[in-house]
Amino acid sequence: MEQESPNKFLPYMRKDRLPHIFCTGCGNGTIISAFLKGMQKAEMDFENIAMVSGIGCSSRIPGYMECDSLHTTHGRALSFATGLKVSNPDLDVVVFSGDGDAASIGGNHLIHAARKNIDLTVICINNNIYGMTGGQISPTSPKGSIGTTAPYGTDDYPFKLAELVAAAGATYSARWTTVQIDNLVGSIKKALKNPGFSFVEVASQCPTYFGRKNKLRTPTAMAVTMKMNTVFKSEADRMREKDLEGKIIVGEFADKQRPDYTDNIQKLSEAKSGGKTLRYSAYMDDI
Amino acid sequence: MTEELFIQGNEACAKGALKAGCRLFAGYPITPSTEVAETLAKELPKVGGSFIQMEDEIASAGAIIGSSWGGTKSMTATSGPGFSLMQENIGYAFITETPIVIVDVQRGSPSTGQPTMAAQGDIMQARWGSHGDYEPIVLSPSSVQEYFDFTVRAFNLAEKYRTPVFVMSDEVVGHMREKVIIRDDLEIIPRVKPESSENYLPFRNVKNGTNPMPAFGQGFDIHVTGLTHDERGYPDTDDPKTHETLVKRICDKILNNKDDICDIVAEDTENADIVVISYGAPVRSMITAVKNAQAEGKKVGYIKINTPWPFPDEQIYELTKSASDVIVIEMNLGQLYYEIDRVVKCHANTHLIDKIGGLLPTPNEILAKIEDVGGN
Amino acid sequence: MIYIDENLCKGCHLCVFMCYKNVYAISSKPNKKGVLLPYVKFEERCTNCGVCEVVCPDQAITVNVNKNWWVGEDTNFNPKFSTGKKE
Repeated sequence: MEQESPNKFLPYMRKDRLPHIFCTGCGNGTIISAFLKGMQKAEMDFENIAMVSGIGCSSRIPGYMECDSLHTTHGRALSFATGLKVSNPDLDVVVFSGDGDAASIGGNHLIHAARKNIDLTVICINNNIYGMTGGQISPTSPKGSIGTTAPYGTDDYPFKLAELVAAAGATYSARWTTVQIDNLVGSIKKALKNPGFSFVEVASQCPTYFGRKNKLRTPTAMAVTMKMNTVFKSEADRMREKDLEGKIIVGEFADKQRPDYTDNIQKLSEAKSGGKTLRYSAYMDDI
Repeated sequence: MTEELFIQGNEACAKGALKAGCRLFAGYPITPSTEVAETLAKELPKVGGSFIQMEDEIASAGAIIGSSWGGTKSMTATSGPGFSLMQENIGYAFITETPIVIVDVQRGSPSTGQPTMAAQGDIMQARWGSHGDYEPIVLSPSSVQEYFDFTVRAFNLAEKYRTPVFVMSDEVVGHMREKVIIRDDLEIIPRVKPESSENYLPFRNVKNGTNPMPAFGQGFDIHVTGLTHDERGYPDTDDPKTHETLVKRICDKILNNKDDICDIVAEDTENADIVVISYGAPVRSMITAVKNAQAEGKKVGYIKINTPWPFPDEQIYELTKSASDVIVIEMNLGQLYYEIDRVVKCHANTHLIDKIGGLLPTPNEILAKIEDVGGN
Repeated sequence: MIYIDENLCKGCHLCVFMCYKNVYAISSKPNKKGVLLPYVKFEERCTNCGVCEVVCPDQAITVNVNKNWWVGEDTNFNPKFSTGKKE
């Protein structure tokens, strides 16, 4: 009889589904642990958490978590999460999303959810490539990087997601990488506690596709490059744009307070019906 | 207490939704369905409900599916262009067996077409719009009263069979004002919660096909995915058997319950030489035309299809047995026509009155066709 | 004490890279899955910082098995933070 793993994160996971499908050295697994540690630090009730995701490698994460999870259509996770949160504002809704999911096909949903400032926590795992379909260029791929749909290197300018979401009106927005564990866990804790739209972009490694195409074959090679290219926001503010090309600027881009969308709906309901919106009303037969 | 109102079709739809227990509406403005959203934006906060205006129709469909898993009966209303955008998430709702109601107030199409004119061009889109095999339930009202009743029934069917239900009205029914009687003894079917989370499988392969549905936050810790999933809800995309079992179950739960779902009205079809068949707004002209033809001594009957999908093929076959000719009236260039033709072609010729452009076919046009066809 | 779950480890060696104290080393022989497992070579250097535990993408590493670093000595600790809110 083998010893059962005493790992602190496994109690939150669907053990019958492990090991997960992520490739060796994929950042998604790190982000699962970082999320769980952030959640523990924020003292959130795990039973009260519902996870929503779209399509992609990162969107497989909720399927491994022992909680209510909704694995939806490509890019639309935020719209499903909006409906879920408004339907039952007592739930803590967390959205896991990738760069293609959130920035490309779901870009409109992302900026609108940020504008509404709806109380969701979005963990956006940015690995600069479409991993699940085999290494195509994504809207966040750095200029010059190689993918299967950009065999000669992409000329496009990449999206800066954390800045974009902050500009769209989110009350919390931050970017870290998978090699800055303490900062990442702290940000996830803050994002979960923040009443309003909270966005944490995590620059992550995809050794299988991004790494192989861009001469960074091993997970450690990718981690080293990521660490080298990281510039803190306070430092980046004093740098020229030319010097920042290809760098990952990490830090917090928004941290403020603004009325949250679900609170506004509750206030309206209290004014018009004299009470909060109904919970689980579909099960009531005398509505 | 029974209420009598004189209201617009879209308002009747909104009132039906509130009566049926709908407590969340997510939508995007589109002519000619906007009044449904406007009425619900005003009324939902008064009854503990929520109204969300989303950024587009894709998001609207997503939001009501999310909300349905949150434990709230939810709906959206749109027209053809928005319905096209929703198809992706409609497929998702079918494979995850999420009860939602989508109202499509049809307008002249394809594309932007005629925003303020009536049509029935989306009836096949409702059937085949999303990719893959599924069996939708579609209700097609022809009057404001029916618009109200069918919206209530749509919610009941959605909960009973855990499936999306479409109410396909059109610009004429949506913007028409008529008397509506709201009875207080309406049957409302609430959602069934599973008895306990122990050994509970949300997608069990049960005989009648429909499992009780828990909501998020009730402690069932379910995984809902659009991937082919096993009975636990976990993705299992490689096993052909899992896919076959899942898709056949979600189709069969509708097809095996056609007796309960299908609703048609037939008048004077026994011994009729000609049977006129229609659904939705053209039914109004059809009934007048048939009465006029009968006054002229013709043996004509009519069938009004209230549920175009699942298609009531057996009933239509039986009811048209005596007829030599069947006339189908549609406000498109022939969509349900081919389905009716498939059913009746062994004993009758099928003729089509295809009226597009936005106006209803007039009783005289239909009468002329009846005289033209002549019968035996 | 550091515990590495051989069934979950896929051999990415991020723990080896991330450990500030160089506690880990890579074994020379692959296991039955063909993975070159990391092993704890210098346990006395470990400061219980917990970085390897979080960075491990496969939830295979546990540091300080007998202690929950986030609550100290509380033995009645409920790891799911359940408030018993649900029926």
